Amino acid sequence: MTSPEHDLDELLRSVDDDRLMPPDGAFERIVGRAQRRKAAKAALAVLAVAVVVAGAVPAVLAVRDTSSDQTVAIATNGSDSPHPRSSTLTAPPVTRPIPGLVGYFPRSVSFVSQRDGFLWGTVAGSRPATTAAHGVVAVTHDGGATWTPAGGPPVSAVAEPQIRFASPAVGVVFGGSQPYVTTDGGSTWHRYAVPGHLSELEAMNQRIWALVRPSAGASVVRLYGASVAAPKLRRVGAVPAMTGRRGGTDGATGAAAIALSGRSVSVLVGDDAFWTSPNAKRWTRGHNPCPKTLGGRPVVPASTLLAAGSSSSLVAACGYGARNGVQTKLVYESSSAGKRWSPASRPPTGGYLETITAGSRTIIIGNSRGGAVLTRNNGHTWQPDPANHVDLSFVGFIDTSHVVAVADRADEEVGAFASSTDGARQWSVVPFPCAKSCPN
Amino acid sequence: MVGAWEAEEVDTAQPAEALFRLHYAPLAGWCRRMVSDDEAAHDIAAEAFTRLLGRWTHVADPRAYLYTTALNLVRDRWRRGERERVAIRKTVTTIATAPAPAPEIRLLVESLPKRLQQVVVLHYFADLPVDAVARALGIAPGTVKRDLYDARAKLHALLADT
Repeated sequence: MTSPEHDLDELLRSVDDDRLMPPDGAFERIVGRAQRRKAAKAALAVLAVAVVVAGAVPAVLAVRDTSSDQTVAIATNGSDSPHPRSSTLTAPPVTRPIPGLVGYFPRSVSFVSQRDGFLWGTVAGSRPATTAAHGVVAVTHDGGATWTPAGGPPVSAVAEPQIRFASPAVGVVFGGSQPYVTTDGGSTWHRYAVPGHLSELEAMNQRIWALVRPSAGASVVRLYGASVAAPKLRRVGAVPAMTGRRGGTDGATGAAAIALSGRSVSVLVGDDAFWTSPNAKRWTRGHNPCPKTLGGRPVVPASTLLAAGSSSSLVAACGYGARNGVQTKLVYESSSAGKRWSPASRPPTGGYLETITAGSRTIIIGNSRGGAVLTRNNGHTWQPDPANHVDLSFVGFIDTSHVVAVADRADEEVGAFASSTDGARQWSVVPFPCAKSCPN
Repeated sequence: MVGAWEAEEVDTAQPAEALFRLHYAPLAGWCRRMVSDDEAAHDIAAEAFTRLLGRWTHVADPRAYLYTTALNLVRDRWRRGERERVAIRKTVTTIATAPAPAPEIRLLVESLPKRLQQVVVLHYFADLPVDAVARALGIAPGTVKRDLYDARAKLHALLADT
């Protein structure tokens, strides 16, 4: 016997049986369309930053995505630097394809010194990156002027993998379902054992730091560390388990963040915890600046990002809500290694927080939608579109003056590596062109 | 050194493709029920996945995002006057695994206010529990329950009239 209620339920549930199978190649076309749209957006995003201490200690930084070989002007507001108020981004005269990197499309960058760096990206014809297109690691030993291909771990571009190197030999690519590690400068890759779900990873000065959840959906986040000499991740017992945002995805959204500078380490998890150590030995709990209420209403940040301008100078960004391309963003600065925080002026609401980097008084926030914003006066005023429509993405400081980034030209879909030696004012670019036109 | 890094066989499975394999066919099938057109259903499902990949690192619940996006795209089609089209175009590139789509579901959903459409789509078609619907829409679980109750009452009345 059936009732009207039963009939309604049956009718509503009947859709479960109706399946429309995808046409051949549908997934690859969808991935390609998504990546072309992404390339068309001027999205500068900063991933991680490290500042060389006293100009001598090699630093590591990680970057994703790239941009143009055009000349651009970078306007500045009141600056802390004697550098000119505008500068250019110029392409080198050589635009011939690089063997093994023809139509290379870098997505992430990591430098261990001013000269030694690594890119992870895909090559022309493998975009859209599918499971069959694992990407290629490119290596430079001259500050990015020339690049040579190395091996690549078996991860696709779909999950926006990121690359981090702790030394010229040891590095990690992560962001997909499984992180991979190399111990020979990127020639060969192996699975990297992680005791749970990897939320965030940074590497610098022979050390690797990771924030790990017991499982992908867990809210508990624990800090792990490893060294190049003893690569297995080990729990940092001095830092208790922290509570992160439950569910969602991690990575660049900043559900959990690590900032490195010299030998100092700081971690920020959700709106719960902040821990810092000047030497990776003595840990102290600081204050998490992300507010738990806005306008009297309880809130939970969707994103929390952290960057270190020096061992004691930190910048935190807290993003609330993410709807219709708009997100409320609050930025806080600390000159006391996280003991006290001061609010900066609010950056524009357009776009969703993705990455942050900090130098001397300079902060760049990258948004996944809406481009990037930059301040050169410690957050007093913000300047949208700092690279004048150049799609620099995931830039970061190697030291107080050297900045590297990956970039892509939305019109030609040509990837490039970009670098600056004067604090992101003048840029030079190494493109990775195809012989004629790059295949989709 | 290799042992310390646990060298293993390579697993190339990626979350996005796994998600596609799991959800594309039911999502496209649901779209077909909504627009009565295989080709349009593929377009909407593909567009929903494209937008999902564009926000891959920001979407907390991909399934809820897919169905919410698809619902918005379906509404766009309805608004463009597509609602009168009931003829089903059999495209050569698709494999129809279900019988001819019945318009009743579409008409029932279309008859609901926008707010109730969302909870019905996410709960019944995306198969999300009440708590997940609440998280996806940013409302309280009690509100979801009330909306589902209201939706069912309206749908029941509509069914009784037909």
